[in-house]
Amino acid sequence: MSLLEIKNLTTSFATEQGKVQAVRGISLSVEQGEIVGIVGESGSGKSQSMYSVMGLLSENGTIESGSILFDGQEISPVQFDGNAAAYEKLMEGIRGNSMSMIFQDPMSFLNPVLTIEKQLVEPLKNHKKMSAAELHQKAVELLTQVGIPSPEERLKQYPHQLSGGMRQRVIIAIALACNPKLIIADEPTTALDVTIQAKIIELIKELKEKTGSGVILITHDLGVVASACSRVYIMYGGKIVETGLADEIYYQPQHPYTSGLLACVNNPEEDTELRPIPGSPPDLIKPPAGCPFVDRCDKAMKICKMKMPPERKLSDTHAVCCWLTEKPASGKEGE
Amino acid sequence: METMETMELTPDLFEPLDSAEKNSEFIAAEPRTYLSDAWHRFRKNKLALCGLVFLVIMVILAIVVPMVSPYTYDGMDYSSVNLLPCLEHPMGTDKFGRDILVRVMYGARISLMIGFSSALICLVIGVVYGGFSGYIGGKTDMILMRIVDILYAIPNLLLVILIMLVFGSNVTSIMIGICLTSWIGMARMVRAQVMSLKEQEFALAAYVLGASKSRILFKHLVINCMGSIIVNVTLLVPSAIFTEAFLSFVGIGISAPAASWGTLANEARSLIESSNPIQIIWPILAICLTMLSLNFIGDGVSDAFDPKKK
Amino acid sequence: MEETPILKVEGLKTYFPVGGGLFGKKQVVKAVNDVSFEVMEHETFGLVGESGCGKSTLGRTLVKIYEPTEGKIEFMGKDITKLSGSEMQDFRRNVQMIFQDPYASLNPRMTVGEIIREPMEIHNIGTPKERDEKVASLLETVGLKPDHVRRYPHEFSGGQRQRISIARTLALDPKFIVCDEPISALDVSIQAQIINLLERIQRERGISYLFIAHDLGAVKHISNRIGAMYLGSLVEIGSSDDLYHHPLHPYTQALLASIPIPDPKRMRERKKEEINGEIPSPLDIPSGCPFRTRCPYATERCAQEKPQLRQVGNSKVACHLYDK
Repeated sequence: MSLLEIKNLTTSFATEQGKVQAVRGISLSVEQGEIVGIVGESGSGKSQSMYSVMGLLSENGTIESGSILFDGQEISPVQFDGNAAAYEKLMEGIRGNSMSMIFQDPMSFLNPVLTIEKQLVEPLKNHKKMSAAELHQKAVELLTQVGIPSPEERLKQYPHQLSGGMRQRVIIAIALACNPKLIIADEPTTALDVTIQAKIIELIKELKEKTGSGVILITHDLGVVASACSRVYIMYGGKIVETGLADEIYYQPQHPYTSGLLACVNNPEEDTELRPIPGSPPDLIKPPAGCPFVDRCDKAMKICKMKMPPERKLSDTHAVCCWLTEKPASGKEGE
Repeated sequence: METMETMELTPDLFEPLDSAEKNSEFIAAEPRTYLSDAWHRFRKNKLALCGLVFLVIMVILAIVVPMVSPYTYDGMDYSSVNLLPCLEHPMGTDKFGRDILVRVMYGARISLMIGFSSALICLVIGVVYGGFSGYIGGKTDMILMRIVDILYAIPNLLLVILIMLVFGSNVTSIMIGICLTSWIGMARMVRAQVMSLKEQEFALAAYVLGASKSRILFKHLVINCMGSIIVNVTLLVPSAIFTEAFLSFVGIGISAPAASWGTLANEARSLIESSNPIQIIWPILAICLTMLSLNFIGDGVSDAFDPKKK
Repeated sequence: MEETPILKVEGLKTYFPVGGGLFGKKQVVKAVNDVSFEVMEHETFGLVGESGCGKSTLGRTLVKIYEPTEGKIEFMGKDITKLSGSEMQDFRRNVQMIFQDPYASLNPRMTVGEIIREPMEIHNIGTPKERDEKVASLLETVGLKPDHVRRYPHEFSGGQRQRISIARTLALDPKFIVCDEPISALDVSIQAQIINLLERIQRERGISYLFIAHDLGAVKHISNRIGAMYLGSLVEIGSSDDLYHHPLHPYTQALLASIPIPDPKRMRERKKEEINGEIPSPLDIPSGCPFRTRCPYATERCAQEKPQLRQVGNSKVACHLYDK
């Protein structure tokens, strides 16, 4: 059984301009002890799908349908039939305990007027019964685990006394506090300098090895997650357009969006021309009837505009939604 | 995905799509300006809308009633004093036989005028002073803000009463009195917002484009505090009306025969135990309803301009 | 490539005083600490470094948002630190800036049309009709539609906003544009779009750029020459190829080694030649070479003597490793 199994998740936001269909029926799964990447640009629904799982949607957001099985337990509010209190109670027990999140911006997540120690033991106080001495012991342990030198002193400090990379390590330590089964990292390196990025990814990898947790890594940069993920989901316009093992995605991309993403990452070791994807992502107030990528795709066909392509399995692990793979045999061309 | 059968997949569907049919810079929402956006939200607040309707009616009545009524606000008629409401005098008459309806509506003119004009004056002074102070910063800001602190330290009412003593009891001196200190809140608010906005990149961008200081201040900074400014104004109006009513009620405001609501209430006070105790109801009712609707409007406006309520 | 410099910076220092209130002693942040370089005509000079290295302060000093503490900035042969009023307006017409955050750099209360028209209004260029035409043609240049003029910035995505911001800077036909991390806040797929757009504009209009970024990968494509900056000092200047294929300074090497590449196998194999720790506070710059606290090759000498930029091969580098 998978650690996390999402089926047909649909999430929308009510805005003044109309209903924004941020997540449009996605299915994905995460196993124990693997790092899964969710890659897409802003507005692709990658973060909102995970906020839906954590029950952290903003007030105007609702999960319209779908099931979310976490560790064998159904945690989609849809299955609670309007019993919001029961859902909230369940999620309070899960959030920060068996499922935790690492946020993009360390500075806005940490409370500036509380010491690192206070913030670090917060989830432990909420979920575990521990004495003060045990809590302190655990806090020291956690900081050591995320590679922060002289943890005893750091615990007494405030967030502004730490550098950006250190803060992100503290956030990771907070996420790890209750030994979660699943860690969702929402663009954990975007706010950091390149020299620090690689180290944070490395740290997440190491910790996964040690704790055996499942990790979901949300990012817009295929380069950043290349070394870390075993499997990757590519999201575009609220849908998953391609999924596969990392090697399948990086070396045999099937969807034009995936190849586009790969082509526009700067690879300094090869002097390739930059090939950007033209245009902007679709407006999800009126999501396109067909493939969401059609307006920016250089291989777009007439049918792409009319109908969403079906999911085609290319191997046990590799699947893609693109009319190119559905093209009748007569004129087979284009990868 | 399940409904594959519903459409036949003919080869011509797999022809390349014409690039003219691609539209990747498409924006679905209707273009809407900031103010129309705010109005849209304001309209949803029923109480605020009621308040606005009431206020508009009040303004119209204040203008029209004294014009069409056969009575004037100071026309005495000793043959009909202290009448209860009747057909000729819907609100009755006072101890000099003056029509109370006309006097209340005439009072509305004065009260509303004082309320709105002093709010307007405070708006101009506060925005310019606060904007200037916040944008220039440094020593200038320090000096300007200390002046404000000193003004703020003088008891408000004391100041108003002093001014009335010097300039006499009339509309102008009441307005001067009210305006002398009421703009301070506005100035402080605008200064604080301008200070944080001026570091924003769009203000720097205007600077790099070569825009003059006043252009940056008014076209870029002040316009971005518009929401808070409007909210602040909706609070200034009732407070000015209230101050005036209070002053007139205690007898140092507008003096007879001119009538503001405060003056009317003051005059009717002595009649509470006499034949016509309900005279005092009318001006008080007018003040209360106007205050209430202004507060509802203020509430609605602050919601409408709150960026979080998108 | 033309060999006349359009911009010449010599010994530039920009310091900011901090503290000095009632408590604590007055300190000085040496954000830009003795920097010299030139930007040639039609050239793109890339400037890379981590956050807090002073690269944005340098860019802002060049467009006179900040006043330099010391040093000379010559633009087209004129020292811009002493300009008269009308010379200043000329300078503003010729030198523009694109900002980092596309969500903050456009006035949210102005329509796209007003935003792009504003520079022409400020400098009194053209009749209202000519301005409208120019706005339309600029929108087209950056790949937006003329009917977008009546919309407000919040209706656009990050990449679209950055293109609006580019259109605004082009309204004055400047000769030199400081691009202050114009792609850092954007998605990877959009970054390449903006870089290509900037390159195309340069080809068509012969503008020179100072292109600031924290990611060497992004700068590589657009720059002719690149300078690496660390704690207020330039530690290496070289042509973009030299810097990539033969980085000299240990800091440049580290920056290069940390660029993420979309290739799992090579990322896994990549040797972890990492630099230690993080950038020190600019309030407390190490003595001698600023990089010595993180440098794997640091020696006694690095602590005592600040290395100066000098020619090594085709590049210039400030490092004692290359002393004969």
